[in-house]
Amino acid sequence: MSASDSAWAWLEKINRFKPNKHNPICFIMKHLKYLLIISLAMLWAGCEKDQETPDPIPTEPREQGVFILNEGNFMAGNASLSYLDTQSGQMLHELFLQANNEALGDVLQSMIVHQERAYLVVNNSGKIEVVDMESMERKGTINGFVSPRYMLVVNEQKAYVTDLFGNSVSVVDLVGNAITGGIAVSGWTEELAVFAGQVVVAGAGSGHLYFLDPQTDALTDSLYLGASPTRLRIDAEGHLWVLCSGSWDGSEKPMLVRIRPQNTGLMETFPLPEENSYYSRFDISANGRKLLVLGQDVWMMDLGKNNPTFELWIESGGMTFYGLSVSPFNDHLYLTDAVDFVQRGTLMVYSETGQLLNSHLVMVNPSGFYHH
Amino acid sequence: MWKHLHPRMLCLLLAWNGCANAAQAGGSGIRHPAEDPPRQQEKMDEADQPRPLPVVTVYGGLRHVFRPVHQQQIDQQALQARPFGTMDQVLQSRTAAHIRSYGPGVLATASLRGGAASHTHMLWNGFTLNSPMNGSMDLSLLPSSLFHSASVQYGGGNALWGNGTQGGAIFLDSGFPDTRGFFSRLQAGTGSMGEWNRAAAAGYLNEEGLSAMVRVMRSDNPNRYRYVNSTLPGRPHEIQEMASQSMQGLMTGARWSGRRMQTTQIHFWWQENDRHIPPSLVQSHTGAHQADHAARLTASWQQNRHRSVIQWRGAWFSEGIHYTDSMGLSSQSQWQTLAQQADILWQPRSGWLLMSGVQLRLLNARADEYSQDRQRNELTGLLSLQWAPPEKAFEINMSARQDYTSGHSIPFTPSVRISYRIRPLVNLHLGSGKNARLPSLNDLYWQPGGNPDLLPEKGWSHDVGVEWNQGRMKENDEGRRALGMESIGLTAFYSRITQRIIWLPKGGGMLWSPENLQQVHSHGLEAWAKGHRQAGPLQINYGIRYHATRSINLIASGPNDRSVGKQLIYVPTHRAVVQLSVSFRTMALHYHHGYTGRVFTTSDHSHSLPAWHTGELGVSWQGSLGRLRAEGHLRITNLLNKDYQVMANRPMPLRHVSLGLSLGVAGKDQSLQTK
Repeated sequence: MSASDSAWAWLEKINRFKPNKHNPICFIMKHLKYLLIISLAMLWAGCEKDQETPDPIPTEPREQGVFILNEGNFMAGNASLSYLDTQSGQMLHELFLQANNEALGDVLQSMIVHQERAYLVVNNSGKIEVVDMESMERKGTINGFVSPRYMLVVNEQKAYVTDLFGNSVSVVDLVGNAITGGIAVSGWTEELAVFAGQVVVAGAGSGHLYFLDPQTDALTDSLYLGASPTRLRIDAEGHLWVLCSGSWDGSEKPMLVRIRPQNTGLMETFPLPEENSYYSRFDISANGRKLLVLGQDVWMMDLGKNNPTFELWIESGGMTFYGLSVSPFNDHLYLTDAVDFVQRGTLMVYSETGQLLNSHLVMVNPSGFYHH
Repeated sequence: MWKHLHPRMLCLLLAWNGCANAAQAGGSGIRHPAEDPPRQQEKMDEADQPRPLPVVTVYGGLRHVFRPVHQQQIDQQALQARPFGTMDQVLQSRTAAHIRSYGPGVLATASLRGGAASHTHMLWNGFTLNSPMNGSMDLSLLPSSLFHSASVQYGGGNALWGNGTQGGAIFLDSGFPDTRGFFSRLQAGTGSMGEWNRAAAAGYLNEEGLSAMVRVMRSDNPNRYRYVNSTLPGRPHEIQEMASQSMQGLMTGARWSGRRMQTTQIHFWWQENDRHIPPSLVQSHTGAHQADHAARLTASWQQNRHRSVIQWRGAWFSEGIHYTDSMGLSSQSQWQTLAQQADILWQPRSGWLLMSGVQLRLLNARADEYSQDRQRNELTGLLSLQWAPPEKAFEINMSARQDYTSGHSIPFTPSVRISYRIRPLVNLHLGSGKNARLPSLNDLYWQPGGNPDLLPEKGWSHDVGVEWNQGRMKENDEGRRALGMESIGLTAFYSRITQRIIWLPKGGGMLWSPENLQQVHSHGLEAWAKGHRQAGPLQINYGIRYHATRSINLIASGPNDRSVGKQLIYVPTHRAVVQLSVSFRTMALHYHHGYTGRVFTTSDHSHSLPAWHTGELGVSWQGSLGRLRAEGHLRITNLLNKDYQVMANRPMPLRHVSLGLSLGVAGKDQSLQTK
């Protein structure tokens, strides 16, 4: 029998169809009401709310405000740049995506501004996006990094970039937007600062502070501080402060180190209060009086006192504080809650006395700031 | 008498009273009175005295006697239809399990009923495959051709199967083909990704005495496939160049069936796998490489007595992973498992079955990220009771389990399942059970972040299901013409997990550590139907399965947490698969279609991946000359050429083609296809 004969035989069989209690079609017809109930139950079980509508995204940032760096999820490629207009309170999101019709990349780590250009260090994409400060349009991309972390402009043509895995500090030509060389250091390096006429680099992997000569791009000295030096700040008196986050296994406790420019070999150490917490960020107010450090909670040290001690400034209360910055313009504290790290975070702005002024929904994993 | 049932069975189970006939018909391994039609029931009524336990050949353990509410069998034909595939591909096309795949040759795990990978218990020959270090099993490392059969249990089953069965279980078994005498097979395959696959199998099988067989395979696959780069303007097509994989494995087994109702089996599985792990679309650096190796040995001895079955089983696994990448990272981990298990199944009187068992499991793990070698010793006691009076239309199963583990207390986990025949062909099933999962060794000891104070996850799951099974009538009414639809079923479930372990950032997010924080409840419906139709010379087989799952977090991690009441990330609400097969003489045409609903990638639902469809079309041919057999197949995967991602920024291949050829000598009883 050919296939077409079979098809005709099948149709004839349907035409000769008679009800039969063992026939599945009869079974379905007889139990139609149950099937209807089941179908409704499935619809109920399958009901889900629609994806929330993203906030409307205006296109142009205002002139006075703060950029919020949203890391995004590791490997998800949803890093983004937000902007809070501190005059109007308006929050803008996805500035890079809006301007370039392209996702920024994976893990936005840090941002600096130089000559009306913003340099966005995208860690897990191994690149630095160079964008126009006003329009956010891409002006170039610096590729070739392994896992870039922070950037410091050392003169009009040159910048240094630290790296998580590169075992070197990259030298970048700002004119050609290209890596021109590297300064060998040991392991993971984090923030950079200009101190005592040299560039200092936090060697998080080795526990050292590295001193680089910006003229010769040479490593001139190193100083062992303690486990995991990560953040650097210069206070109003020109002192260098270094946050040592401590060792993973707790054998070396976290601490702050103060180094005076007159004698870089002399260190003062300040143990941190929650010694079992991991301290990730700190900042100093513009007048140099107040130092805020982020562990599980936010702690404050009054640098104006002779023997400063830490006092609890803002309790986390179940939040996951992730980013911290003090505005250089009004000493307001910008603090972010990353929640569970797989949803949009919250930005909270506190007055200089620690009162919550306002809060804003930002994007995923807000960690860094640039005050504009 | 000893008998080995149809290879379609995952593991051959126990039949009693009038059920031996059904078993001889090559159908279900275990027959429940509640499922038997009236004529069968009448025969049962004649049975006043308990009869000897007639049939037991168990690969996965006696515990399969106590069935869950919802279980799906995957026969060897389905496994062999994909001779060079891996279990993630089989499960993706045949079941409603959600396979979280990072792409061909890369990590793939199974999610059942909205659970995590560590909530899906993978077992081989009844022993846990899940890594004690991370609690999950990579399905892409499991070549489907090495297994005799597989099945998926949807829903919790902690009481019988132990730690980590909250979402369900996947059973893989290395049985022996249903044939006698010598058989052999050589296979080769290639495809548009540049793969070159070879496999061979040979064995000599007897119903009694010694049987032995061996399967070997080698796969070299550059995984060079086309995909859409969705992160670039214009979404250009690109070629994946960094996902090459090579895999080689050997599975061998021997069985001795003695005259004194004893069977001894031993199975050895060795495998090595080397693969490059491609970067995601947003990663710049490459060079990640992972080498996996495993040697696994199981052995069992079993004796059937007049009214009891005694079984001892043992296992030794030695496994390891070495990960390196171009950034200088190198991480090595190894673990060993030694397990001993003894069960006794006893039929005190007709309609009653009692099983008690004890298991000892010793784990040792070494990792660069552990401060020292870590051990875990587990002792388990299990008691199960089944009451299925022959004259009644119901069956009751009860199980209770208590685990003792060094350093942790695990809750007592009971379960109950009741089946009731509400119509001759329609059965109602009710099930309820407590579940628990121990923290993995990484949860406890990973440096940095491991939390040795973690408690086990725990929770309850409840099922209610109804099944209309025409196939059973067909088995017992030999003259009846095939009626088309063989079975249709519907199961509703509800489960809750408390103290769920999640990794959370500490101290500003640089340090992650696990906590018993989340409380998740899941509910949903699972519907399925399958059937067979003879239309002239055409044999038509079809199956459809649809699952709706809502899996929701109930506890906020903080005041700004917007995930409460929302579907968990990477859990699709809708999942459906359709299979259609049309055979004409020596030719067969197969089509599989899968639908997976949208998944959210952030817990507040601000980001998601769109739903996707996959279609797969295959054509196969087989010919024979005496006992010589030849087979060929051609398969087009992603027939619709859809761009989709199961995990964010991990694009799946566009349309690709594979083909293969098989030559061999069949055994004496059946065609090579079922070997």
